[in-house]
Amino acid sequence: MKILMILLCKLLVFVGKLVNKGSSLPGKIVLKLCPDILKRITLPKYVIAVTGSNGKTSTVEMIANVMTENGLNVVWNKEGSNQTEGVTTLLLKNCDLHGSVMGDVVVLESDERYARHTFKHIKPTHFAVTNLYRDQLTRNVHPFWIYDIIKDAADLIPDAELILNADDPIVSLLGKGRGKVRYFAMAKNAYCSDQTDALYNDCTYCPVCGAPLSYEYFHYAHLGKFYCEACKYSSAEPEYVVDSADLENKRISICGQNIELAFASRYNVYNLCTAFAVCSIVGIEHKKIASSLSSFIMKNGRVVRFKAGENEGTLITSKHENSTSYNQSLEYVCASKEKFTLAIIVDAISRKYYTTETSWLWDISFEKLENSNAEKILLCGNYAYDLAARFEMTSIDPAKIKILPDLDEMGKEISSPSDSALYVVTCFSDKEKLFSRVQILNN
Amino acid sequence: MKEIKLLHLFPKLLSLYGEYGNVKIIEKNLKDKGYEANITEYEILSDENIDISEFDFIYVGSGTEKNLIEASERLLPHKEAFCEFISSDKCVLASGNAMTLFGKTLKLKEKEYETLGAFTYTSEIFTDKRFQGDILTDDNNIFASKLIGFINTSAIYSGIETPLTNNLLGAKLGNDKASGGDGFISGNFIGTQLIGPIAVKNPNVLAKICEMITGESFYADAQSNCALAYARGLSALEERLFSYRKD
Repeated sequence: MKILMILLCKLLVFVGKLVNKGSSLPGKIVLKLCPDILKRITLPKYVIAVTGSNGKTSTVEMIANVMTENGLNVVWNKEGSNQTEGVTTLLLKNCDLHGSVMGDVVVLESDERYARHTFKHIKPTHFAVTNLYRDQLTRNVHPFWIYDIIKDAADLIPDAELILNADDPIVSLLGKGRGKVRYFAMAKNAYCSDQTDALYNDCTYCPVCGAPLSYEYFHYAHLGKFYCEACKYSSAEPEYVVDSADLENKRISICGQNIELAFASRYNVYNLCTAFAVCSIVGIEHKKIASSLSSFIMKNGRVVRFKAGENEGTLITSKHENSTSYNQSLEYVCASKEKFTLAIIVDAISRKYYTTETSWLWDISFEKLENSNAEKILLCGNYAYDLAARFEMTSIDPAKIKILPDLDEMGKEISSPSDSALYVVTCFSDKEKLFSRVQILNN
Repeated sequence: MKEIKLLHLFPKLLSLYGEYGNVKIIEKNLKDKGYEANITEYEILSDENIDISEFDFIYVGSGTEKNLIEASERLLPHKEAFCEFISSDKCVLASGNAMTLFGKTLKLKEKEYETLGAFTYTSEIFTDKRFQGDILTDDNNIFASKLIGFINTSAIYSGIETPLTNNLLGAKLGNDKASGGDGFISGNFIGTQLIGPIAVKNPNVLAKICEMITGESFYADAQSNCALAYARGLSALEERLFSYRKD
């Protein structure tokens, strides 16, 4: 039966490739025929699952890249199909006919809502959680709702080692009462503040006892060094630490090792640190990890250079319905030392489901643009007026703002001669609408 | 011009979904009409000393299930003051799941918590059930328009006899999750399950609330960004409703 299922899966993957079908269908069919197939296969020594609101795809990509460069044979879900069916396809297509996964390490990007289902089939040896933010609340409700779901998943794998963000009071909760936990964190640096940069803090109150939670410093959002006077819940002692960060020179150091950044954003640093921790745990030397991470350029197209008319521009891909992702993009754009035009496109909230919900626009710190070098701000797409209503609450000069619901008008505007830098911020769901109106440069 | 004092209750404890936008836009709208409006935030912590009777308006928004229980416990010692505020017919807006705080009881995991008891309805919240979706109401007498928005709640209400709106789209997301009746109105108390900055999304709601606060007439500006966004949202949701009905 096992061999039959493996062969069937391999055949379905082959046929799927011919007809350009998704990567989860073979797994779905096999699971119907043999629901416990994943329990029948032999896994390598390390099975690492990574979850979190932001950056799990990038983190998994980094881990796989570092491990591969350092001679390990890595089985990982490149296509990002992170639910049970996709994971089943991935593992079976990489099995030999004895039912052993042909790899030294399995690295799985786990959907935060589906890990509790996936872990019924496969038991990771390590479970890394990067962060928990407000993300797609039309499906994900609120971060503590997702925390409960991830906790259910973690409870299914009591023997697994957890790798947790010590700066995130929500994520760190998973470590309470667990035997094997390792933490990573970012030390205090020049970008810290005694106030959050976000418009809200999901951990104003201690997630354990409800008393006001104190912070020695914030990095951003609800992340920072925290402690509760009432119940003593506090940031755990991290084993993996971002000791220093110099974003201007695109450089950080983790556990004493210098790493050059391809994308100078402190929001991405936790993902790098997660990758560093995971790679260290499987036995790769710190120096080699740092070297691999330094030369690594993300392949997921988050930053894309393009040409509009004679103007060169940069797209910073964000996630709609995710204010932390937008804050990250805005911070990147605001670091521009030259005058710039910024186009924000919100045309479809999601490519996966229908909603017209726009409350999330009010969680984004557009106020970051108030003291920036923004010369012109274009609010574009179907939701241009919703954006404009939000911008009315900032102190940005209305004369700088142009409302362009029609994306063709946006295309013309960003192509008109200009001596300012050009940035576009939008979501994966809307970026093709930009690409169809500009010329993508070799990135 | 008259000073208007707006109280944002639990701006940190109950602060999901950008709901501070409601108080901000009310403040702005009042200021635009020449009122001297200002917002006070109140978390009901031991080091705060606020007399709510001095205020003209109270707003409270959505929170996590845990924080909602915490809010009900912080409110209880001030039951009399809040009930008096409501019975004096001052304006209150409770959005998202905050309406649960003004009924008789709130239940979570078999445990019943006493709430303000300003009204007779009761509610239950869950940690494993969620009711979410886009909302379009029918023409509403109070606001003289259809309302648009989104419901994202785990609360089910019993005993609401005067719902604020009737949901056409999202009919199964109303107070009892069976009929389309949503929210609650009594005098100048407005409760709605809609989340987020509903007064931004619905210019007529903004105008009506400002009218309730000041006693003077306010009108929505049809050319404002909010009104143009509303027109876009309304048309999209009407189209959505039409396609459902066609199916």
